[in-house]
Amino acid sequence: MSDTGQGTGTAWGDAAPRELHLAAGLAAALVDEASVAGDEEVCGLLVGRRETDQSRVARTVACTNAAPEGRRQTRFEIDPRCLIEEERVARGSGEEVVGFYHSHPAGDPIPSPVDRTYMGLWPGMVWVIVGARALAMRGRVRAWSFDPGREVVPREVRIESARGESGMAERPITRDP
Amino acid sequence: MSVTVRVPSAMRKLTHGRAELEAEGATVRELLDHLGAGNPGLVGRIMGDDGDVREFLNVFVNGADIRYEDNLDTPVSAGDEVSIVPSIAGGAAPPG
Repeated sequence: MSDTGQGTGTAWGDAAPRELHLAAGLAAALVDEASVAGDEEVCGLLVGRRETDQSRVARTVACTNAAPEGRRQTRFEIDPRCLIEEERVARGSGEEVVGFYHSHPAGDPIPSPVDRTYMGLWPGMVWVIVGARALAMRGRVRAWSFDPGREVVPREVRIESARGESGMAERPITRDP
Repeated sequence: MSVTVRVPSAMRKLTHGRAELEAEGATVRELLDHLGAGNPGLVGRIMGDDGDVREFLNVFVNGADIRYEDNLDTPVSAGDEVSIVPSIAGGAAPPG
């Protein structure tokens, strides 16, 4: 058992779905939220339905960045009460918290070493990162998860238009930079 | 009457997939002792060898962080809800 208490990664419930479906409006709203916050990181919850191969985000819930003042440019902390309250709201609705999001105001949407540490505490959850700029041929909104092989792996983000069309706006990369 | 303990998805393989457990006890510590009997491994994920709550883990009783109450000796009563929440954090900074 590790000090962080993370699981063995081989048993029930550890693998995050391969794809994340995100309405175009929600993706745009995340980018807007990150932009409005300026140089501080924003963070929140992704709420929706988890299926075998995909998670569908129905809504996002912004949480206060509880990292100490002066450190929020490069750190975020979601107050656990934000999650507890949202789980209470979602209970019985068929929806659940399927992941978390945060921004890198001056960086790429790629997990940092500190991101990876915390992702290991939440296998099965999708972590969306909104970067400061799009990576070549890929957007600013990228998704990742910590998987049974004990690695952080990219997840495909499918941006869906209001008409239900699915685009391949965000392709995963095959290896970390 | 018992206390409801909510378990995060990452730990449900230690609770036979259950998100919610019922436990008896007058303090958080007693609840964990009670749960440990039927859910081997769960308590070790919550408490470290020093007997305290692990660094990257949070325990809330009715929305109150037990670190700001009486820690594991925080009293609980029937109908209370205890939530176990690993830390959700990160950011662009390198560790340290």
